[in-house]
Amino acid sequence: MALLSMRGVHVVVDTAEGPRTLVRLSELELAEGEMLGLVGETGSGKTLTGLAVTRVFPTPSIRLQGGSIELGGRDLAGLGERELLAVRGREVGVVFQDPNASLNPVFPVGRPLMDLLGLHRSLRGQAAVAEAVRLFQRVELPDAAALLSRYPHELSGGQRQRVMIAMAIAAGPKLLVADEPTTALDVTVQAELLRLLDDLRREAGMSVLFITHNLGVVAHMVERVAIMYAGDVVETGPTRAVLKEPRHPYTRLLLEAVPRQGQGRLKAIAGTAVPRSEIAQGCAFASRCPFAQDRCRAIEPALEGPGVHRAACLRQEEVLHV
Amino acid sequence: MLHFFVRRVLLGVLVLIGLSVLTFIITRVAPGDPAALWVGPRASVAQIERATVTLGLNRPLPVQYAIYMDDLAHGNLGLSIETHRPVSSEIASYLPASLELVVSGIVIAILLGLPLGVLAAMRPGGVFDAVARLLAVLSVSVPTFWLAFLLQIVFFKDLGLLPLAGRVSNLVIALDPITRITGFMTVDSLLQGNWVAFFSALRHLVLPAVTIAAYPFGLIVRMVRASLLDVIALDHVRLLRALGQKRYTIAFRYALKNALPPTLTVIALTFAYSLTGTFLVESVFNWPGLGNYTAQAVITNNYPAVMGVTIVIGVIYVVLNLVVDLVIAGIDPRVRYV
Repeated sequence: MALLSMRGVHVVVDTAEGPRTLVRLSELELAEGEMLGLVGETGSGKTLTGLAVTRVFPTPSIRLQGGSIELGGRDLAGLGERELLAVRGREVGVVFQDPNASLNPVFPVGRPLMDLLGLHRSLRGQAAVAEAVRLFQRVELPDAAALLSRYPHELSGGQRQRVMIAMAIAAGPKLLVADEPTTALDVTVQAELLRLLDDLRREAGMSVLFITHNLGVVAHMVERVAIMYAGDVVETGPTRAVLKEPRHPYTRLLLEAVPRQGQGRLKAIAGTAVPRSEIAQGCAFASRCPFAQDRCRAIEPALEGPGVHRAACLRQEEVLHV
Repeated sequence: MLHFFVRRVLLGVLVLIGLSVLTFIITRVAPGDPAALWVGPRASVAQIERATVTLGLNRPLPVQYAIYMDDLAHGNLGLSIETHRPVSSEIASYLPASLELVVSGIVIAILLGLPLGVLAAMRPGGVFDAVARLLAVLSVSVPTFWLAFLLQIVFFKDLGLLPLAGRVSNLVIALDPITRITGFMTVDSLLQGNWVAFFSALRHLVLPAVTIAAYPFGLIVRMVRASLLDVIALDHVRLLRALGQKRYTIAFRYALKNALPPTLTVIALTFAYSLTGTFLVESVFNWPGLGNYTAQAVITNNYPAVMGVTIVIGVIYVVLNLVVDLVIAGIDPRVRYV
């Protein structure tokens, strides 16, 4: 059963010329206890898609325009700010990309965590300290009790990211939105953190929406992926199938652009990503697509395909068999 | 932390030495003969020459400066040319009145400006923001003397709620006099349990203090609002919002602490500025403070008094900045290592 089901989610940014579309998502589903990799390049709208669940966007000018975001059968898109407050942190935890900027430099790292424990679980004083220590130990932070009163600048990037994860899971959310949690870290630290997230998922039966631009990270850790381009999912399916037999030209080109040993020149996708708002009709990828035909520029393809592996491409059978 | 403190103190001492050199030179090159002023308008040339020697004005400037610094080190600010009394004791008698006024004004400005700035930043473009921005602009741009008159007209003439001018009513001076301890009349009367005098002093303090508060209030509102808006856009604030923390908790408990250092710096600056800038307020409210004294000293070319006031304000300024630096170091642990 799907824990999270996003349909027709429309995120816009208000500009002087009126609202501009950043995300127009056909559909995205996340099962209970599942880790889904949401992959895309910068500007593809993957982060905004993840943030749309809590509706806390990077700037006030970005907002949710429409669509439905069902979490456990309840539509979050219809909730007011006050009702959302009870969802944030309690039902949905969030981890941001930059651990250096995501902790307040003038507070000991344990302070916001304990305040959240007070807010969401009514734990105060010694009880809050004890639970904070337990959470720090759970995210495998060394010397947890002493670390509570340390300041962010005294911690390493990986430790700060673990503190953030501890804050995100403090209230035992059903869903964790992890926005590129490992991008700012060393490769070795990345692997440890990924394992930790996977452990937490399995233990708590928590679903994880894992947002990344790194296909390599996804390949090892995640059972299912969704590839985003220009604000929408263009291909989704089991990780193995998508990586081995891509049905969308974008995924295909993205895979070819991954550097390999013994390869000569690096391959790049021709052209630059066109913002969703500038595409009047047809497929958003058509302008860069080697497979594009006239009908691609006229008809907007829907996500379709055999079984669970689906792509938004009119010529996916040809792409598959090239 | 100790290293940080020692460095800041040494820096402060350097600032004071520089200040003393500057004021010394400025007062010496200013037109007018202090010796002539010292002996008065009907003095003979011989008398003026004698005074020049007595005051040491015939000696080379570096020597004069050395003597001046030596006196200063002993707390001696020289004699007032006008009254022939020690400048230090004159300043001591006027400074507390001004301090009482300025401290009250700054406290009022902080108590009103800080929360208003936070509320404004929490919803940019909202009601509080509109009110805050309007008040901030008005309070900074309104001429001090005009505001003072306006307050007098409304609260004394029209409403009859508060006294017109002075530090305490004549009745109190006659029947319940305050013995001078700190020079702060509100504090002294409280220390003596003299309630009649206390309420009289407090009522006299309100209008001039509010007048003084106007300018720093506007600055604080703008400063808190601007720095808080910067902080609110940061990831660590967004993360707390995304994790369901309440808006007021985020603004007042978390973001305000980040926004405080620049605000404190501004407060310290306006405090020192207000101390001598109170001349207009002190004139309108007939307040026997340092502003009046300084203005008089400048007009009469009373250079020991001018230099004395400059040094005293300089010391207050340096000490205040030191305190602010220490408070900021207490707020932000990263500063301690800078």
